[in-house]
Amino acid sequence: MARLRVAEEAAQVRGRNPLVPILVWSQPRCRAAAVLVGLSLVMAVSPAVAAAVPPAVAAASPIVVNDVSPVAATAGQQHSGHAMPDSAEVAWRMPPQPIPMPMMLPGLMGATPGVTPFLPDPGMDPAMIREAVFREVKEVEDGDTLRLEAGFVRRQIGARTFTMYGFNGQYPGPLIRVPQGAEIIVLFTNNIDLPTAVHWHGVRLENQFDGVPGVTQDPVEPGESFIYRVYFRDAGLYWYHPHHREDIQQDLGLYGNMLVSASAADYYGPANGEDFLMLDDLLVDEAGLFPYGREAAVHTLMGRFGNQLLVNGEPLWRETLRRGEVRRLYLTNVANTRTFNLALEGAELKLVGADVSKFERETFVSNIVLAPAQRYIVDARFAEPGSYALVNAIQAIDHFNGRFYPQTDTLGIVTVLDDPVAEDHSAAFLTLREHADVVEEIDRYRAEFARPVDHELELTARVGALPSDIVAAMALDTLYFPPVEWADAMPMMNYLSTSRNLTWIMRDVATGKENREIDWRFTEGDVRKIRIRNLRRSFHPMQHPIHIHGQRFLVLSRDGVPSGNLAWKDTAVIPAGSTFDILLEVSNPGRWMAHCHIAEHLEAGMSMVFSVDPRS
Amino acid sequence: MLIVFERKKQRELAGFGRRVLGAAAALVVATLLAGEDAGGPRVAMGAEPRAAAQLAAHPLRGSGGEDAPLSGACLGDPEVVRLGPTQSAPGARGSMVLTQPGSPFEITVDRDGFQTFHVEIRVEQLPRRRGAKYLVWVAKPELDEYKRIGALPGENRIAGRVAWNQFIVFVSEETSEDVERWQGPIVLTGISPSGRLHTMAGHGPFEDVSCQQYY
Repeated sequence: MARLRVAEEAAQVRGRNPLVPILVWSQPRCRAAAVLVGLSLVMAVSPAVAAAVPPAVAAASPIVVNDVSPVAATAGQQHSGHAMPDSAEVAWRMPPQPIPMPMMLPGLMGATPGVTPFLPDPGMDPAMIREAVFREVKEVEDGDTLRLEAGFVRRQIGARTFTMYGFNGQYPGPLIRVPQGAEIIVLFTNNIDLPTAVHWHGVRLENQFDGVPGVTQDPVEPGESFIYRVYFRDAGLYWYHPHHREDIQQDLGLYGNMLVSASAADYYGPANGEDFLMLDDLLVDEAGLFPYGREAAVHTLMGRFGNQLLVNGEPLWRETLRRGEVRRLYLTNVANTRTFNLALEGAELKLVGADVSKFERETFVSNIVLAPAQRYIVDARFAEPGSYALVNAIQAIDHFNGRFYPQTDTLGIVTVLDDPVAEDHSAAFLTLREHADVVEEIDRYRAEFARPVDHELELTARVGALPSDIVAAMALDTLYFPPVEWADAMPMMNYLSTSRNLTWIMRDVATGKENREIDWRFTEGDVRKIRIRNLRRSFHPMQHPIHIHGQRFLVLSRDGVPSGNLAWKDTAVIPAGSTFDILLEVSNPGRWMAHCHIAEHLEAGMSMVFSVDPRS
Repeated sequence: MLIVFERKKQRELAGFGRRVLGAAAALVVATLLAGEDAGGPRVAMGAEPRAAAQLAAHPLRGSGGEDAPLSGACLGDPEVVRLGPTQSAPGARGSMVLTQPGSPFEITVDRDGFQTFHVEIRVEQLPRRRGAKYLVWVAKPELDEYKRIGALPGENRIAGRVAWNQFIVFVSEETSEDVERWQGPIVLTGISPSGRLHTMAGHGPFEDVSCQQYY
C-alpha cells in the first residue's frame, strides 16, 4: 500500500491523471506500472538526478581513458544510507551505477541478494600476500611438465590495491607456447580458498582432463593437487581458466593463454611481432572489489559487468612500434559477460583466425566483436607514425530514460615511432590470403551443410523467487531488448538476481528436457547439425556465447544467412532473438559439457552434457 | 540548406516520428496492462502476428544480395515490424523484416557500436495512381539523417541496410524516382523495434491523450 501511495504521489507531482488509482496492486503488470510511475517521482523530486541525465547521455562519443579513478568509479554511488556498514567483514552494498539514474526501484530500497557476500579471504593482510608480476612465457615441448598453482596475489590496478587470485603469482597466468601435436603434463595445485579445477578451453584433449567438476573430475579442494595431461591437437589460440565458480575465480584473475604453433612456418602471413591481449573487466567501487555471492552466484540476470576495463589485467595496454610495422594481435575475451567491440583507430586490421582455426579467407575489418571466451587473430598495420588508440566502442542503453548513449573506453595506446621497420611486410599484409588447408578440411563437410537439423535447442530463462517488483518492472523494461547487451543497463535488478531465484535454460526441443536433463548421445565420427534458437520472448532475452567442450564446429548460418567465410570454432555468440545452425564435428569421445559462457548464466543452470562413444 | 517549406515538413515529420515511437510504446503498454499473465511476463506484440502472417504468405526470395536469407532458409523468429497506412493511402499495408547481415563475426555492428540490420520492406495495396512512384526511406527519429532505400519495383519489396540505434521507415509517393529527398505524401510508416525503448513513466496510459490514434 505504501508503494502504491508513492506511485499516486508521483502522478500528482507530474500533474497527470493516471490510471494508477484504479490499479489493483496484486496484478503484476499494475505493480510494474506503479513502480515506473514511482520512478518518475524519483526523477521529479531529484532535480540533480533529472538534470544530470540528459547531458550525460547526450554527450557525443565521450572518450574515457580507461583508468581506475575513485571519482569515476564512485560517481552516482553514494549509497551508504542503504547499505550494510563497511567493516572487515564483507557486506553487501549498492552496486555501482554506470550512469546517473535512480538508485533503486521503489520498494526495493535496501534489498540485498539472499546469499552471503564473498571476497577472497578478507582477513588477510594484503602486505603479506605476494605481489603479482606480469605473466611469463613458458615455451614447452612434447613430454614437458609444467607446474601451475592457483593462489592469492596482491594486485596493483591503477592507484588501488586488491587481493585477487593468480596462476603462479602472475597476471594473466603464464602464456604457454607449445607446438601442435605436443602433449604436456600439468601439475596443478590449488592454494586459493575455494575448490577449483582447470579447464583447457577449446583444446580437444582427453576427456578426463577437461577440468569440469561434476562431469570429468571432482573439484580440487584447497591445498590439494591434480595432474592434467594436455594434448594439443589443433594449432591456434586457446586459454585456460577454472570451471568451478568461474564467476568468482576467473573474474579475480585465474586465466591464461596458450598458443599452439603449427609446424608450417608460413601458417600465418609474416608479421614483425605479436601481442597477446586478454580483455576483461572488474567491478569495483570506493570500498574495493564488489562482493560476489558465496553460496550462489549473483548478477545472474545479465552477468557481472565490470566498471574497470582491463587488458592483460591492466587498465591501459601500451605498445611502442616502428613505422610500417605489421603486428599480430592474439585477442581473448576473458570477461564474465561483457562483449567487446574493438577498434584500433587509424590502423588497418586484417582478420586471420578464430577460435580453433584460421578463416577460409583473410578479410579486412574495421572492428572486432568478441563475446566471452571467444578468440580472434588479427593482423594490424601501422603505416604512419603517431598514436593509435585501442577502443571499445558500444551503444549502451539507459532503460530508465529509454535511450541509447555512446560509450567509448580507451583500452590501450600504440605509439608508432617515425623510424621505419627493418623488414617491411606491407605487401604481404595487403594481400588477402586464401587458406587452402582450411578450405580443404572444410570441404570434407560441405555435403553435410544441407543435412536436416539433428537437434534443436532453445535458450530461455525461468523466474523463481526473484523479487516481484523486479519481475513486474522487467515486463515493461524489456519491451525492447537489443540483440546484444553491451553494458549493464539495470545494475540494481541484476545485482539482486541469483542462481537461486533465476534459471537460465537450454531446452532440447524434441524432448522438452532442460539443462542437465538433456542426454544427447553421439558416436565418434558423427557429423550433426544443431539449431540453436535464442528465444525472443522470454523473461530477459539476452545474447548467449555457447561453448561446446572437446569438439569443434562451424557456424553455418545466422537467421538463415549463410556464413560466407568459415572457421572452426568452439564458442559462438547467439544474439537475442537469433537462430543459428551449427555443424558439429563429433571427434572426441567422452562426456562433455556445452554451456553459456556468461559465467553467471552457467552458474544459473545454463549447461548440458552430451556423450560421445568411441568408434568401434 | 533547406527551404522554409522543407523545414516545416521536416519538423512535422520529426514530430510524427516521435509520436509514432510513443504510440508504439503506448500500444504495447496497453496490451500488457490489459492482458492476464498466466505464465510469467510476456511481451505481447499486437502488430507482430499480422506481420508474421504476411511474411508467411510471401516466402523470402533473397532479394537483398548475399546478406539476405537464403530461399527457404530457417529465419527462426525474425523481427517483423508492421507498416501503418496514413490518410494518403488508407488501404495500404506493409511490413519490414529485420535480420543480421553477413559478417565474419556473429554480431554485426560497426566500429562505433551501431547494430547493423538487413531490412526487407514489403508493401501491398498501394494506391495505383497514374504516374505514381513509391520510394522507401529510413530516417532517424529526429530526421537529422535520412537514407533512401530505393524505389519499389513491381514486386513491391526492396531491401537495404541500416545501422542506426532507432529509425523510422516510410514510403513516399512521388511523381519521379529521381528525388534525393521525399517530396510527395507519405503513405506508409513504421519504426524500428528499438522504437519500443521508451521511458514508460509519463507516456501512453499515463497520459491524458492516447497516442494510439497515431498508430
